[in-house]
Amino acid sequence: MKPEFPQVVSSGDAFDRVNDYYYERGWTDGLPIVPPTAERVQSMLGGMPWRRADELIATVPPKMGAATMLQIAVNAVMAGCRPQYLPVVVAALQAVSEPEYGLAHRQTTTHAAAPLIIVNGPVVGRLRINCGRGLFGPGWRANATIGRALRLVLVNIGGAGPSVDAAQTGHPGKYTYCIAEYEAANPWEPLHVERGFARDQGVVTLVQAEAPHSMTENIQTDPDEIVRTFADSMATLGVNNLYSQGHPVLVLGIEHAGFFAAAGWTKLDLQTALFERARQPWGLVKNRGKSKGPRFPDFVDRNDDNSMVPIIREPRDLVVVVAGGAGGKSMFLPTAGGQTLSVSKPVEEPGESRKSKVER
Amino acid sequence: MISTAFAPLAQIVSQGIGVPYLPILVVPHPVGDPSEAVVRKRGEDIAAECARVLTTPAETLVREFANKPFPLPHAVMPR
Repeated sequence: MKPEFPQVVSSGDAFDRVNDYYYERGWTDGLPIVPPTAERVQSMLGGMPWRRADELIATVPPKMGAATMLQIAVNAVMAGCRPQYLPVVVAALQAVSEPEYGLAHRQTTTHAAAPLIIVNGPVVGRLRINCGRGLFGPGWRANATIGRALRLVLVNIGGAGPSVDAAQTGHPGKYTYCIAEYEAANPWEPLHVERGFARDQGVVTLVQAEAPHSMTENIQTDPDEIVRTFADSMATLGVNNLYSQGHPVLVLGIEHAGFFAAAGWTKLDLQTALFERARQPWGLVKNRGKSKGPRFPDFVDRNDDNSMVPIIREPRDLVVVVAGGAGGKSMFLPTAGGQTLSVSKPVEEPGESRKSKVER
Repeated sequence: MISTAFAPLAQIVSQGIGVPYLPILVVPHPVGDPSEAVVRKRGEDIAAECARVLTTPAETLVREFANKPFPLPHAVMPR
C-alpha cells in the first residue's frame, strides 16, 4: 500500500470523509478505521523505538507488498492499537511470513481459516490481553485491535482484499483473532515453554485456524471420558485435519485442565491420548473430504480399510492452550491441514537482542 | 489463463512479481468440476485468443493489460 493521501482534511466531518476515502479504495475491513495521521503514526512507531521506520519486516503475498515498520504502524493505527501493542503485531507478521506457514496460499485459498494469534509470557498481563472468560469475544482492546491490525496488514500490504481472498465463506476471526494463554490456570508448562522459550519471554504463536467449536463436557470428570468427548468432536468427517493433519488447536477450559492434572495427567499424556483416539478408519476417509497430504502419516495402511487415520501426525502437533472462564467447555479449532503449520516468534522488547525464531 | 473467479488474484500476483501488464486470459469458472467435454470446449474457445496474445507485440499487450479490470462474476460475489 503506497501512502497515497494527498490532502489534509480538517473540516468537522473529517473522520467520515477519511473513512469514506479509505473504504472506497478497499483499505479497510469494512469497519471504520482510525485515521492514520502523521502524529498518530509517529506515536505508534514509538512503541518500537529500536526499529527504524523504513526497516522491512516482511514481504506480504500475494501482492508482495513491502511491510516496513512505517506501513505496519499505519495499519496498527487504523486498527485502533496502542503503541505498546506494536511489537506483538510485528511478531505476528514475522510468524505468518515463515515458509511453513504458507501465507501465499493462506491469503488466497477457498478454505475459511484466519490467522489466530496466541500470546504467551509477561506481555499478556502488561498489555491486558484477555485469556479468561470470553477470550474469543468482544470487550478487550488488545485482543480486538492486535488481531485487526494483522488483518489490515494482510489486506492493505498483501493485497488480499475481498476480490482476491477466495475464501468460500471466511469466518468472523478474519476481523480479529487474538487470544492469550491463561498461564496461571495452566497446571503444565505453557505453550511457549513447550516450544523452547523462556517462561518470561513474550511469544506469539500463529496458526491458521477455523472458527472455535465448543466441546461441552459438564458431566464427566474422568480424563478418559473427557478425551472420549473431545476425540468424537475432533475427528469428524469433513474436518481437514483428518485428511492432511497439521497443527489443530485445543483451547482447554481451565476446569477441564484441572481434572486432567488432578488425575496425574501431563500435557503430553493428553496430546498422546487424542493422537491415539481422535481417528477415523481409512475406509471412511479415503474417498471423501479433501485430498490426502502433504504430510499424511506413513503408518496409515492404505490397503486396510480398518487402519485408523489420526488428526495429527504426532502428539505434540496438537497445539494445546489452557484458557477461558469457569465452565465445562473446551474449544476445538481445526486448521486447513498439513500445508500450513503453526509458527512461534518472540515479541521484541526494549534493549533486548533479537532472538532467533523457534518453529514447530 | 485462469477462471473468472480467480482473475483478480492472477492480476495482483502479476503486480507482485513486477509484471503488472501480464496478459491474463479468462475462461468461465469453474474448470475443476465440469465434464471433460466442457473443459475441452473452453480450451477450444480460448485457443484463438491465446494465439493472438502470443503473436502480438509486447508494447501493444502492455497497453491492453496494464490495469485491465477483471470484475468477479455475479455468481461468485453478488453486488
